[in-house]
Amino acid sequence: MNRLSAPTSISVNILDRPIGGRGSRSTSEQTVSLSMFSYLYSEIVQYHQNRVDSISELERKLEATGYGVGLRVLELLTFRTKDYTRETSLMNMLQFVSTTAWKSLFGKAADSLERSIDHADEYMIVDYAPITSTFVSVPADFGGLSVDAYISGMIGGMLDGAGFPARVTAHSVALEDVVLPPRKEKAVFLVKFAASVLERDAHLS
Amino acid sequence: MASKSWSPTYLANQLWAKQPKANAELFALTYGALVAELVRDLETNDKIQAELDRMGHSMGIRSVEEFLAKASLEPQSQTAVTCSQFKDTSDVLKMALKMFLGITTEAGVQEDSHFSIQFAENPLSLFVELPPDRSDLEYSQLLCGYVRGMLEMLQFDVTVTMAQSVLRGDEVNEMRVDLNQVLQAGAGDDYQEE
Repeated sequence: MNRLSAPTSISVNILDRPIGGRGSRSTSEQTVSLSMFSYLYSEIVQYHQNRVDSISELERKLEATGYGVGLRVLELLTFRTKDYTRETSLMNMLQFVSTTAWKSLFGKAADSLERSIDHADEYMIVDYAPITSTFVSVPADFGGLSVDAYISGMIGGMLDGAGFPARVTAHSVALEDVVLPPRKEKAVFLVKFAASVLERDAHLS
Repeated sequence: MASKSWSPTYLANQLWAKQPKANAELFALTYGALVAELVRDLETNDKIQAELDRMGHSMGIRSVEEFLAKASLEPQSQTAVTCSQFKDTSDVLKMALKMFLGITTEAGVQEDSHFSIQFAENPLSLFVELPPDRSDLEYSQLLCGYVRGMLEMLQFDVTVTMAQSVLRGDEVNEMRVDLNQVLQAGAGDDYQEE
């Protein structure tokens, strides 16, 4: 235990260090405060906001930031499974994203995973309280900006990394008759798969 | 009657336990994505560090409010922390770093006009190794700006630098805080009450 908490010597290459998880570090060491994350994310949004001309451009920027994170998260989670499995069927992959990945990133599974009735290639991952917009209120003149675009970028990165290219967009949907939780909006991540993905999935199943 | 007083470490752990948490890996990856973005946009190390420092500064300014609201450091509370001298500030700073980042820090140098804080684990650089062409980038400059922002809200004008960094090959991370001057409390001269 002492050996683990000792400062990492530089002679150890980053690839030779343990990747954590599975009890090699205690849970308390694997968290920072939610406020620290929110402050950091707020700075990221502000940084991009100063460098773009339109709301949709801002969302694209946040998505691009999340995309790289998604790729890395997928890799990290895959390495932590015992047998390095990768999901090959569409439903299993979506389940992986909305439960396994969601739990490890946000501490809980996504609130629901839905299939679009109108379009066979569209799925929706719904979260009532995503951490990227917990402390955010979007001004009225920001025309439906969804600051959860960062998460949609991450979903896109994870799906793409696993061989399921898809267009993922984040939408804030107003909730009517709110009972619980006390929020006015929920985040809906709309996943639209490329035609090739559906074709392959039809072959496989 | 002497009221019971708690050690700063105990208080810091209490504060940390009450904080809502976020995954440290998500935090580290998010910060990494930001730095990568800055590297693409700004190119030179000086500009990147200046931007990170500015971001940390505004994060620090916001954190102070949350810290003061939650930590209740008034003399009548059960606190053993009073900052009669600048170097005592390091105790409170250690509490704040524990509360927000969950890291346990050790006091390094303790002088009248400067002190240093050491920590083995840096949540910002969880998966990081600097490439050879960026080996002199101060990756954790955000933390320096963060501490500078917090202390500025407490009327201390300070300069914060990373004296040692594990990423650059040192044994431990060490942040050095130099006091430039104590700012005057209250509004400036040109402020006039109605």
